[in-house]
Amino acid sequence: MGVHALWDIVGPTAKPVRLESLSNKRLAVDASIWIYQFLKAVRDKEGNAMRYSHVVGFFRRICKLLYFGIKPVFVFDGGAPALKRRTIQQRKERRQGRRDNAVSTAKKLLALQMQNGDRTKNKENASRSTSQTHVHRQDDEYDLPKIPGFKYEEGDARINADDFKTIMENIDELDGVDLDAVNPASREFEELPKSTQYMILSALRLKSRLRMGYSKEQLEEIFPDSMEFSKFQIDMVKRRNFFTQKLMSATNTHDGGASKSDTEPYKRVAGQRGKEYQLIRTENGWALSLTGNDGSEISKAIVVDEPQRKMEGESRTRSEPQGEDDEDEDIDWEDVDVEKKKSEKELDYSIKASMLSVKANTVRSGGGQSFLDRRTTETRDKGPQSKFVYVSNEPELIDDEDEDEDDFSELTKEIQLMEDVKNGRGKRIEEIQTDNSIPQRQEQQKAESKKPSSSAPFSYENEPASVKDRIEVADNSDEVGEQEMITEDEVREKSQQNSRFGEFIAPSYPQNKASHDGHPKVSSSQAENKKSSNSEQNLQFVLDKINNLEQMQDQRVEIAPANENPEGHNSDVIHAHSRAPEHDERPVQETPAWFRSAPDFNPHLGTSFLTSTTEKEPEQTDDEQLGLLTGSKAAELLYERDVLNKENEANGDQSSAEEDVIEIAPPESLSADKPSEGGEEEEIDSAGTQGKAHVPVVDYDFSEDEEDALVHQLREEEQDYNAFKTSLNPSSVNATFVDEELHDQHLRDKRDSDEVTAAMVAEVQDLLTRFGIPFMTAPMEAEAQCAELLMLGLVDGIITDDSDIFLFGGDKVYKNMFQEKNYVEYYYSDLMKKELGLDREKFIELAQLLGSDYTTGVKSVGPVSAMEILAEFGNLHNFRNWYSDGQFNKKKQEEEPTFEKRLRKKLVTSEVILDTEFPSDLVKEAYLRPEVDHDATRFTWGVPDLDRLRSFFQSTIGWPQEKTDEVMIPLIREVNNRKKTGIQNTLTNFFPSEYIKASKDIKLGKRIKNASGKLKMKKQRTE
Amino acid sequence: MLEGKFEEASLFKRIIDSFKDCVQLVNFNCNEHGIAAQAVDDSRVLLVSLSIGTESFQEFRCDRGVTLGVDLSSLSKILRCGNNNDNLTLIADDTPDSVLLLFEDTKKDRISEYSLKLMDIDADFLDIEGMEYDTVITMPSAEFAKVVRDLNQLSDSLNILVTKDTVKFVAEGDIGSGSVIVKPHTDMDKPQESVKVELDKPVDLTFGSKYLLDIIKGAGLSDQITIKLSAETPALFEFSLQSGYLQFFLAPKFNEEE
Repeated sequence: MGVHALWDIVGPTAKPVRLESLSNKRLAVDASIWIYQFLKAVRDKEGNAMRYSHVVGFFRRICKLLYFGIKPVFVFDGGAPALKRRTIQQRKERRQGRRDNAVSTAKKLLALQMQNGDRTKNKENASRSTSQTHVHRQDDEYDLPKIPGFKYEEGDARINADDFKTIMENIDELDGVDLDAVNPASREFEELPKSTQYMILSALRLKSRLRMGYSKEQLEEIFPDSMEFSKFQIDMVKRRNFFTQKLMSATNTHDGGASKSDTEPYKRVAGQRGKEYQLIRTENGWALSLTGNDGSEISKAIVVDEPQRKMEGESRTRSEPQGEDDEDEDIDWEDVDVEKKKSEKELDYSIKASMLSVKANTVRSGGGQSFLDRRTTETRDKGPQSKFVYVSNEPELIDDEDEDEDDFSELTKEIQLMEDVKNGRGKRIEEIQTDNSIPQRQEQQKAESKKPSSSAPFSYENEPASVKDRIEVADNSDEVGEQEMITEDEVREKSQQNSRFGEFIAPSYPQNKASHDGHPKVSSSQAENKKSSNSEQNLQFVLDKINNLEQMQDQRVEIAPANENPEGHNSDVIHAHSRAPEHDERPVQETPAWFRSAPDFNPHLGTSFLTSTTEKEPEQTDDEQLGLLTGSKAAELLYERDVLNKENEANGDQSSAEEDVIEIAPPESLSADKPSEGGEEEEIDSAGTQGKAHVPVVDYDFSEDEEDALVHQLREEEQDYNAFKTSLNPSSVNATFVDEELHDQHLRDKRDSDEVTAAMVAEVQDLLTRFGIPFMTAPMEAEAQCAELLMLGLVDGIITDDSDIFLFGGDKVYKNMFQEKNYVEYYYSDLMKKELGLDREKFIELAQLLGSDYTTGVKSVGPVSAMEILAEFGNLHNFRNWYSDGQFNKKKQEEEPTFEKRLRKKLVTSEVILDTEFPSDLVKEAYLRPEVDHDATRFTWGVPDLDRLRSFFQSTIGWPQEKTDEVMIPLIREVNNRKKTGIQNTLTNFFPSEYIKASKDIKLGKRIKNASGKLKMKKQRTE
Repeated sequence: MLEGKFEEASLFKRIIDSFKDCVQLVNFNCNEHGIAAQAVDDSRVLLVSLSIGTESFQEFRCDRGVTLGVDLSSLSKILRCGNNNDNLTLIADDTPDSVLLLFEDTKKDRISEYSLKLMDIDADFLDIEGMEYDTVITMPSAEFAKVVRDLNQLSDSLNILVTKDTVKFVAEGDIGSGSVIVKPHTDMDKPQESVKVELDKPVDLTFGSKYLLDIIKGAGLSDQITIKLSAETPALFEFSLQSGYLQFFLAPKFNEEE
């Protein structure tokens, strides 16, 4: 702005003036520079421009001016003269560079932050995005289509393994702390200072997130078996969860989005009791959110489709009229949880232990061909209620046959562990669930993302519900015996484990299984224990370890599971179903062995079904018809049936069991082709559309699921990173984590890349109108117009911080009007002429040397040498002639005095070229005859319109009336008072005044003093 | 070299006290005629002009002009250290960094010596010479002080109306209004109690009360105050010294409509 460093030269001539003495003066205000100042100066702590900083800033300044009785005239920039435009263009280019720079700085910062560990915010965002996808249902019309596959950019740090490698290396040694040696679960760790805890935890957490710094190829070497790798990943996920919990407790920032909403501006759009919809300002625009439910945490998940939830809620309340879900907004999962807890209470260790044998039984029978028989016999034994249990159980048995053994072996281990630990069983399960919750979530996502057709989702979502319901029914009944309880638990346990294993299921795994499946699963539990693969044992080991850790902090974990439990559980059930086709498919693809034996029982299965359907009561036909309807309706009707017809429940559920079986059977048969084709066809025929409805489900390939999950994950991370970028706020992080300098640079860059917009000017002008203050838009430069107004005698002085004003012939300049409380710097030409020997012409010459809005100046010439040049050569023509004449004249150069030698040396080293155009007449003309408005119409001042000001601030900044009144009422009173009692005149209006400097010399630098002395001498000589 | 000796320190003390509240920094210009000073308050409304003639001093010597830039609040602190009846001598060399204040208690033979650092003070100098006034009022300073103090209660402006044979002070404020009318009279026994009005033209001027309150602090210097008024020009309030004067120039208020 203005002439570079000109203020440094004229600064010493400034005279402090009391603001009071400016009373009743008409002052022209260069307003464009104000907006610029506010834009640059007023920043929030993150370096972002405050939206209405200019309005508030103008308001304050106007109030100050009015308070002191000053009559301001605001002058805005019109356009930029061609000369200036050129310089502006250069500035813009620089700014563009800055912008790029800002991006790179942000990147640097990001890398640094990553290196120093994630922050809680990041983590919260992560959980938010996951929970959002959770609750998101397929049938939401705004749901985005799934994209097959994913792309990433070349430089994506998350993909680039090398970066990870270095990061990992850096992490390992964190402030000299060996991370591997730290046990965050230990008591010693708790005693560490919070900051250290945080540091270690976040580093550990980050570490668990990365691929240990290995590239894909390396990972393939280490884990030749992708199953192993999956397990390893799961382990890491569990670890991360643990660290996250720890981290949250260490930072006490469990409130997630609450803290975020404080800092981010939002607008309230609509609300209803207990809910608040907000438009929250995000990086890319505005996002609608429910207050509190901003999705930053699971408990705050945004419920997207209320009706769905209600439907499920209804069905739930019908089966068990409890209101647990009232306070928990968390969809439909907690009902099962409630049930679960109930059953947990009822079950004790002895029962658990006895489960072993039961399990063995079920597996034995379930795996065999005669499972249908078993079902019927057992249902007969136990009465209608237990049938449900089995019905619900059976699909899983079928689905997960291949996994049963492993589940089982793990179950036994767990039971033993449980007894060893002697912890509350509830806690135990919660622990398991917390372990599982993340994989489960992912599983569920996968399951949902797999759904291709609109009908499929229904079947998915509702079928689990039906299973759930049946379990509930069973639970509610008093008749349910111990055995049923146990089986139920098994169902849950199994489903949990299934879901946990879901992650691990890699082609190799089923293959192992398949071999076991090959021979009938009549083998005893011991035999199965042996069969359990090494990988599972590994997993078990990891699990045990993590369990141990978690026992240390049961209390905390208990709180967290409260949220996660329902989810976990529900997803178990859902998962069991969603996985069904996958399981079936895999063996089909890779283990013909299983199907070689399958033909034996598959037809049998089919026929038995046929028979059973024929045997069924009329109800059964209903079921068949229902099968023609959409899955959801079928499920609904299933509930109805459950409730309405207790006697027929057995049939109803058998039929639903049948449904399940059919669901599974067709894929088997389809993919297994030849051997069992005939039987299957029968099945399909008998089942009708039911089978078809579920066929598409089979289309999903596991690898694709993984891909989907990965895309998801990437998207989540993208969000994380974005959140990162926008909320780089060093204060919330331990100071050691952020390189302050880098951050400052970031803020600076951000600031420099903002520009004054027309909207801002319009807002300010609107404000001025409401204040009754005259303003004008200059044809070109505001400073030039200010000077013109002064020359026309329309104003008594000029308020500006732009040194261009002197070049345009401005005088009586008030600078830094709003910095000190009572004084303002006053510059006037007489004094500058007297003290420095500078007049307008000399100022313009200085500008050509120093550089200004119109000219780039001479490189390497600063304020002091500029003054010296003017003093030495008198004018720029002489200077140029001297420089170019002596350029190639060695002899002449040698004769030059020391000053000239030194100056020449300096100029030559900076490669200065002074062509014939050097003292540019264009520039001189631009300053001497700027395009200005010569209209001499006097300005008039109105009074502030309080009402209009109130409404203005209400609508723009959202100030309440009180806030406006706070300042405006006393101000208006003051103004009115002044008017009433008359305006105090000043003596200077009557007496000629002379400013007397006490010290004869103003405080100038030695060289400038000499230079200005010479200038003054020259002036006197010419006069 | 400046050497000025007051017979009583109280005189200098009263002079300083009478204007130390409206101006902070003052340049005292000393020459062979005595000590003079001019200072304008921050708002450029009130100007103080002081002249202490050599007659006011018991002894006075000043060969070359000396300027003493003084912070009045510091000076009055030092002046408070001396007793009223002490002899006070101001001593400064030709290019002084500080001024020496010497208090001598002649009876007790006690001498206390203080040195006050001087300052370089930038100031406006107003050419106040050659003003002519339409009206000159001379009245007891105590009475004027009372009028100003009383009417200040009502309003922050004081209107002075001078007609042929009355001087009317009027204040109109939110709580009410008040006026004091003073008529010229001559007290033969106590000439200092007389009120004299010399009128060329009737005058109606309004002044800020807070400045008048500053002015009446000089009432202790003299029994009589001379007020010189002219329409729409600054008024002159003068307290005479034994030799010299203390003058206040006060800019009037005016109504915006005019």
